[in-house]
Amino acid sequence: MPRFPDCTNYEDVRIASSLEQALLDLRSITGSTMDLNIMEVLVSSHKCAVVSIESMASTSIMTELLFHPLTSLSLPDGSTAQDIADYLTKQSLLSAERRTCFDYGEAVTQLFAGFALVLVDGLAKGYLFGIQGFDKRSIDEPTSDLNVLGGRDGFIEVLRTNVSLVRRRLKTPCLRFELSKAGTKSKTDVCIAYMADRCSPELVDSVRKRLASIKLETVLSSGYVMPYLMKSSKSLFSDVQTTDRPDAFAAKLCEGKVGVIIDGTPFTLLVPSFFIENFNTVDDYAHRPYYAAYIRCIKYLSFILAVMLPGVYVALATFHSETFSYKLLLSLVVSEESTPYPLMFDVVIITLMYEILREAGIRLPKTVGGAVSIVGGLIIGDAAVNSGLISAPILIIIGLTATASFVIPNLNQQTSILRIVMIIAGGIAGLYGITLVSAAVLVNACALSDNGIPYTAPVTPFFGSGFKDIFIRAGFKKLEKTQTLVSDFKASGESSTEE
Amino acid sequence: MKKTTAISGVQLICLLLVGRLFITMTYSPAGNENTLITILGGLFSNALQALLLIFPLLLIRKFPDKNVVEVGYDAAAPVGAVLSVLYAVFLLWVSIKLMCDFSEFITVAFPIFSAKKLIVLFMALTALYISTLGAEPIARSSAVAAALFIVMLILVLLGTSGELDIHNLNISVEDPMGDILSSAADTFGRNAELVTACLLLPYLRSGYGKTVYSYIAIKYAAVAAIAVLFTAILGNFTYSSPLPFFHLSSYSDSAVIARFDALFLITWTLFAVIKLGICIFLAGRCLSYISPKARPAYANCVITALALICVFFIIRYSDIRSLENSKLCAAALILLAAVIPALALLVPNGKNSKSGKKDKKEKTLQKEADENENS
Repeated sequence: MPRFPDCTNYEDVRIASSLEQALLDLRSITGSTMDLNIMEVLVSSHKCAVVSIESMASTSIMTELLFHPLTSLSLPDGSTAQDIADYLTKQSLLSAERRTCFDYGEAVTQLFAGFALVLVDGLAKGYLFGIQGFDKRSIDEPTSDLNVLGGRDGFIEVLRTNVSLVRRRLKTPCLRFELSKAGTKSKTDVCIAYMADRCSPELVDSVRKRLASIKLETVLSSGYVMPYLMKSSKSLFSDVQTTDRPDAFAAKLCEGKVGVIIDGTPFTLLVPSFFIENFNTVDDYAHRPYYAAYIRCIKYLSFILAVMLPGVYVALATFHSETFSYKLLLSLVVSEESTPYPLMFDVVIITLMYEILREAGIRLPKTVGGAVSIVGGLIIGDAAVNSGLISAPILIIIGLTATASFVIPNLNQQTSILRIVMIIAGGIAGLYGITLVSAAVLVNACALSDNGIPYTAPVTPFFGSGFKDIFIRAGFKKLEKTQTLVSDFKASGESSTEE
Repeated sequence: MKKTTAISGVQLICLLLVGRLFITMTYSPAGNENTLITILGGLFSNALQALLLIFPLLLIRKFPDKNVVEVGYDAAAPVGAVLSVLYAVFLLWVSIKLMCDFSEFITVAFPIFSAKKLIVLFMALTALYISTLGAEPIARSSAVAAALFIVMLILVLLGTSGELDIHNLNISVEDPMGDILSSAADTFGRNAELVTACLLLPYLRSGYGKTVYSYIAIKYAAVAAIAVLFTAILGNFTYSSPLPFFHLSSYSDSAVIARFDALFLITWTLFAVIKLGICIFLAGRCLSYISPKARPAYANCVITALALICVFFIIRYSDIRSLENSKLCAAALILLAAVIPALALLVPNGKNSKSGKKDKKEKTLQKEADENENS
């Protein structure tokens, strides 16, 4: 009679000492799933079983590390089941990862993580051996945050590979990894990474607590964990940074941040994050400082253009036309006269069209992605202007806006929403509307902080030491003299060095 | 009762300065056509403000982490309730005045062919939103706004430096003492930030006196410098234009900077919404002491709705200039920023009210803390 027909309430049940009952229980818990692999074997006349999950465990490693030593084991007559246990745990090195489990919860979790479970008849416990061997993607160039002069390896979906990529860059005992599980069903491995000498214990503890508060059934990507790490769900901006670059991850750990690596996704999370970090790339530190500073200024300008350009254009053209030069004003009037709809309506429609095309370009297979730009950019855009539905200056404005938004991919979500809001505000209330929305966004960003570390630091609150790496990038000789940690940017507290 | 948020000294100075610069941009020049009188009048006014602020500073030393309203509640619940209403009404009046100035501005300086009331409503809603985020984010934003103003002012002044002529400064005086006192009285009435400072002092962790007196000194220097520079550049136009500040850039030799007047519009609007936001925040906090069970955000909504109703009424049926009463304003400032804090000093430290209001207040602040945490 199966003891766990609905695969619940088994976690804390002790493993049966009878091998037959234990195997029955395992089959009951897993519903005799197709990939459950049970190999019963006699070891020195004692009944044993090796249980594994097909495709999660490596058959060759299992043969080499478990089957061969076990089958060739010969114990003297009169040996007991405990002797086999002693052999497994004390006299042999069958696997680098091995542990003893006493309940079905631990046993099943580790089985599904790629461990092999050895059960011995007469012993109410099992022995787990790490022999993971599932297929994985090879280390590849990161798909986001591309760079010219930085490393070419990116995180992959396997947590342990990602851990090794970080460890390879920081060969110090101060780098700590803490493994935990998230998701009541998925039991996803989640790893906290931090530098013990750089990161404040309060921050690490806070991240631990936030991860422990995850009550989701499944954790399949970083997006599932991010809301739990974010201090405010109402903010427009996110105080959790994502990266799939091990070099960027390692650099941020050295700044005193806490990293979270999630099994099954190449995107890692870092807390806390700052607004200014959206404009920094690994390449900034490979270029000469003056060029890095120039590129950063271009990025800040791009952000302003991506958010405000269409809105400001609508505001100026609708309400403050005196700000245009006479020639420009004349050409704008000529262009706009031929269009049937109000300017704000035109700009909103074109912006939405751009968003549709961009989304289509992302979701479509790469082979047909190019066709979207041809259809959207050339055919629709050209036809719309020629037919007089929209004016050419609007297309130029939206084109420039779209290009500017590509420069700061980390803020893509915010720029997309703010752009539309700015257009509507500019169309209704002119520059007043633009300024009011900007004020709301500014205060919204200023309200975001994590463990007392403001999202807008070191600009506001102002920290002079942090300014060496914001608009300009000081040389490494200067940066090494003033190593700034995120905890230095704490807005309130006794040890604050603010202003 | 520790406040859960903290404002640094520099942020508080910026916050108060932003409020005062908004007035400077709106009412420049201040009353008379003599620069020397303006400067000396300002000196007298600021000296008086420095004296008045001694009482709030003594109060915060005696009751750290408590504002004058909370001290009133410690004395007796009815006293606290009266103080709550007094401060809330004053801040409501400042908010109404500010919104009226704003509506006047969008008619005079940068008129746009859009519904005036809609823009005022838009502004009030923005201020309401930022008030719900708390004092700390508003203070941080004010630092950015102040920095933006300084950068823009420097750019415009560099562009107009060729037009600077010290002969434009009128320093001839006929009745110096009378004019100086009149100017001082005019200037003093425009410093509602004194009350704001009184209520925001508990949010400072330390350096109360240093912060307050730095603000007074910086404000005086900034306002005096702006008055001198403007008169030197604009000459008599300063006195004939309703809002000369916004014509400064058009005097520039540079074709680019000549079009920067719209940028002053941006800073002016930014200053306005920040000032309105902090007024609504503080008025809302004062109201929430009366009804501790209500969420502070609801009190902010009530203040905003009241202010909007009054503003729409004034725009429709009355004259915005009817709100101008420097003597009444000066009296209110002396009462709220000096007399009441001075009387509050008589309350013995650590005394709890009989009606258990303290517990209610603690709950209110806890709620405030939770709300800030959530937001």
